[in-house]
Amino acid sequence: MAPVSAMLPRWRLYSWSNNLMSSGTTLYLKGAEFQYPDNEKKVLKGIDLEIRAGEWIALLGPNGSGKSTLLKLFNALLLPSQGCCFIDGINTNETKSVALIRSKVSIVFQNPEDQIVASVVEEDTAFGPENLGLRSDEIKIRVKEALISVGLWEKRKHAVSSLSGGQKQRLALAGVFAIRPGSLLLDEAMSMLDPASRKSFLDLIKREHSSGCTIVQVTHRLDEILNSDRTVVITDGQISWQGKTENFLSISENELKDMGFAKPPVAVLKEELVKSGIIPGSTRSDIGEIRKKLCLLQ
Amino acid sequence: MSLTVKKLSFTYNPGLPTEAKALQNVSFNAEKGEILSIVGHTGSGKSTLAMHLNGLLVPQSGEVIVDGLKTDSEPNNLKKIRQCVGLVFQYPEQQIFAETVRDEISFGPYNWGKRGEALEERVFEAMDLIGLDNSFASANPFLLSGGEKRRVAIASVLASEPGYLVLDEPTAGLDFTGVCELTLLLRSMSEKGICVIHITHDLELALNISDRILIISEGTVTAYGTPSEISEMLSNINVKGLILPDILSLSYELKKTGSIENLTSDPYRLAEQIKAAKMRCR
Repeated sequence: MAPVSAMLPRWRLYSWSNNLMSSGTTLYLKGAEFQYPDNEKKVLKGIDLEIRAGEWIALLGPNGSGKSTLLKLFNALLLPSQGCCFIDGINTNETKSVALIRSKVSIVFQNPEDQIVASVVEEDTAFGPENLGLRSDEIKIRVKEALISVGLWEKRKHAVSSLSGGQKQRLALAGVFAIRPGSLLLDEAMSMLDPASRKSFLDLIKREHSSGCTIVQVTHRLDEILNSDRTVVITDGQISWQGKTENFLSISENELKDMGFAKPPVAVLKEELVKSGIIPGSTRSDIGEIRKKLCLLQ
Repeated sequence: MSLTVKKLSFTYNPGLPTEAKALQNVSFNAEKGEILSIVGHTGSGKSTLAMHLNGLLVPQSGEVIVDGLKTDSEPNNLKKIRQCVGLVFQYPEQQIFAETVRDEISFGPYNWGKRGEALEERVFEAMDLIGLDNSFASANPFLLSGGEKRRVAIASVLASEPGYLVLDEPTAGLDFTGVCELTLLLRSMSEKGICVIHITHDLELALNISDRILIISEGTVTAYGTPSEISEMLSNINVKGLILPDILSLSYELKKTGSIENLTSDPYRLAEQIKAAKMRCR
């Protein structure tokens, strides 16, 4: 077992001591196909994908390529029409295991309105743990820790309707944190945020990941995936590219453009500087690292 | 002919405990043929400002003047102003209601009194402007892709031939290809003489596509100018909710230490300057 690092957020320490929750979930798809009823077109066409516990996957692809459908397979909101999906070895088509799967795998959707259910902030956050059938003192602790971690504890008695878009998106995240899932699936969960809120949201995800949570992140913005381990590109229901994120980001700007992606300016800068031998090739595509390397040069 | 906002202030629920100041003393001017980006954090007052531009809200103090007509005077003016200023809301595809693209786009001009051939002409002109070919006319808008739906929604506003087009976060949720198509579209509309007012929180996008940028923060204007002026200004002020694009902030730091000369948000130009600087050091 990995050492309990001091970096772990408080609630993870708590769960380690209380119910020895596993740190991350393994997600596995084997030959998964999916087709919506009344529609001839297959949305997913034979996906084989294994996501290890604690891995951070960036899931990319154009609008309508099947990314959101794939996420829904992982927490049994949808079942594959062919092939199968396993969460920590449990087949998602076993009806009796659905509750267990949902407690392991949580999705944050693009529009927070889709998953906010209560009218008061703390009641909304309590909804998940209540449905797990936890004791009320346990629920209180989880709600407090989740709201503190997203910075909404002061607003716990406020009406949900008084929150801004960004705050609602953080509330949706708190609701998911309170369930303490082993994996977090983000379906363009930052699309409605301004850059500053985007950064603090991303910091929360980084913290989750460092405490062992599996992350699957769907986005259109490559500047959000710089922290991920592996990139998987879905095109027209199939995996069209997968590999290390750093390798994905070093694909040339034109080639990425043909694939439908904008190369993040930071990755362009890194490549240009590496090419001319100013910074070492091992530098990550991260502005902080580039800055450090440049300062050393001066 | 221009759209002028003078010392505009607006407070929601004035005098009540829920009172919230949305705009304070906002002034700017938008000309035909330019792209003006309004950039601000969530809750900065961008959308409240948008609703003032075609008289959906009227100023509590200050004024909004469109082609010489004030939005807060006669109802007759309002009708002209609404025809003149087209407003495209966030996620405009959610407003689609008709069964065919033709019906959807003709709704606006029909309500302005167009009938028969004149109406048909408007519809096809708008589709042409937005890059939808005629085969789309009888398509069901609900079955189109996200990017296409958004174009139909924008076309239905363009069909009323507005001189000013206000778009609230038009690129939200679109993939990269969609964003590229849309920004090209905004450019081509401005070249046809339409004034495009583009509301966004993406400063990087605004720096790349606009002629002028207005930055609002907590209801007040914090910066107003061309992209290069804005780059200079932003390095000196801290705007809530906005983060300098990485490349621009690094170029600012390097400029401060004297390593490079010009601020830029273009990674290639920054790399060039760093290379040149390194050579000088040796």
